[in-house]
Amino acid sequence: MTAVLFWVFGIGAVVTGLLVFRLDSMAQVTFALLASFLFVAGEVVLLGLGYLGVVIVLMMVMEMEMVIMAVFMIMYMMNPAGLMPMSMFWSCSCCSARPCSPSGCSGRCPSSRS
Amino acid sequence: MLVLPAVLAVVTVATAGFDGALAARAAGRPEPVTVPATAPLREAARLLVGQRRSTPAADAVLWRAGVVTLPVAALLAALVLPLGTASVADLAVGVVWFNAMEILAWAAVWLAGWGPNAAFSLVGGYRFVAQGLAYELPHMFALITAATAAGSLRIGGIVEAQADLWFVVWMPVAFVVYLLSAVAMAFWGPFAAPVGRDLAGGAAGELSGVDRLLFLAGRWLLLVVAAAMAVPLFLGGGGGPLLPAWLWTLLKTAAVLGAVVWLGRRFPTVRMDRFVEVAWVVLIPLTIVQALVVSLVVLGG
Repeated sequence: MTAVLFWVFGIGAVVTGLLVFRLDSMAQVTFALLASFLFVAGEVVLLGLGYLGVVIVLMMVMEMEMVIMAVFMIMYMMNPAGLMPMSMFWSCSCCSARPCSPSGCSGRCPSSRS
Repeated sequence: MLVLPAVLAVVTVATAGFDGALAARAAGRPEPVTVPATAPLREAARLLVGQRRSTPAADAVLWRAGVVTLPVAALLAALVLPLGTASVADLAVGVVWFNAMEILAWAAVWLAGWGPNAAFSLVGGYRFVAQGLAYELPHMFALITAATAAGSLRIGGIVEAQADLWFVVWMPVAFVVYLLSAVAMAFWGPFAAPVGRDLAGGAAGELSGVDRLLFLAGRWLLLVVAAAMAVPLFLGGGGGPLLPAWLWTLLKTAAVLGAVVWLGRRFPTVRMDRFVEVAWVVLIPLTIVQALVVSLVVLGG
């Protein structure tokens, strides 16, 4: 039972952690990260550290996730409401004529939409 | 294990019915008391057969997740709630577990507000986050005060520590702040701004059918569980003369819920920015002083 839970939590934490870089909505990314942390909290509980595991749930949902992440990340990042395609990487794949920036291409591509 | 959901369901429906009866009396409607008292059941049946609403470009995953999380969080928090002396799981870190599970309501309401891609819903979700910033710290200090006095984070241990004297007697501030934050947590009564009428329903505005049933039932459930936790934390749990412990627990819970619902209807809706100010300037210092007094008593005794 413990071994099964260990693998479920472990794989869950890694998969949801990867989803943070694959999803294209800031809100979904935030909650994928939260899910990853919650799986880690499950592992900590399995280690017999009940207090630490439950406190991780408490702190991640409250301070980390809801307040800091959901409010500030959505407020400041390039894709406020999931309205535009977003990349979590520094990427120039959409346009070669413009320089790179954290938000992908800066400015519009000359030939894309005309 | 099976008793808990059944008891919670009955108490929740009864609480919602009591609230409906008070509303009918306040409105001066001359209907017999059974009409508003059974209204929650009729409303639940109506919502069960109702159609689920969908909105353009909704974030369906997060929306449904938020709606489901609210009742699930209330149920998980109730796992450490003792009925008499028995609870489903009397965890060694019961108080922290309870706090962590009820915190999920933050995520639930924000997600339910974010999901439908509607402005009023979103404003409602953010209102609840602001309200959470106000009530959560006083709430945690109130929980810590009871745990400090008992020297235990186990709910059973906190009940045992009140065998001689209920905590409400020597930590009244923590008790009142706890109930206040319980109502704010369930965004009910004076703290209903996140689902307020000025926002056309706020975070619940775009919910219909079974989604609405889950969300609103989860909200009542959260109010019931949070208010019921005041009994083991401050009112001696199942302790009392003559009657069995489980009956004392139910009687005390009914008294607390009745008082909370009746008082909650006496006050107008509080704007959460004003409540934040009151919470941080008044309630947090008060609860810290309360925790300090209790700590000194524990150290001295």
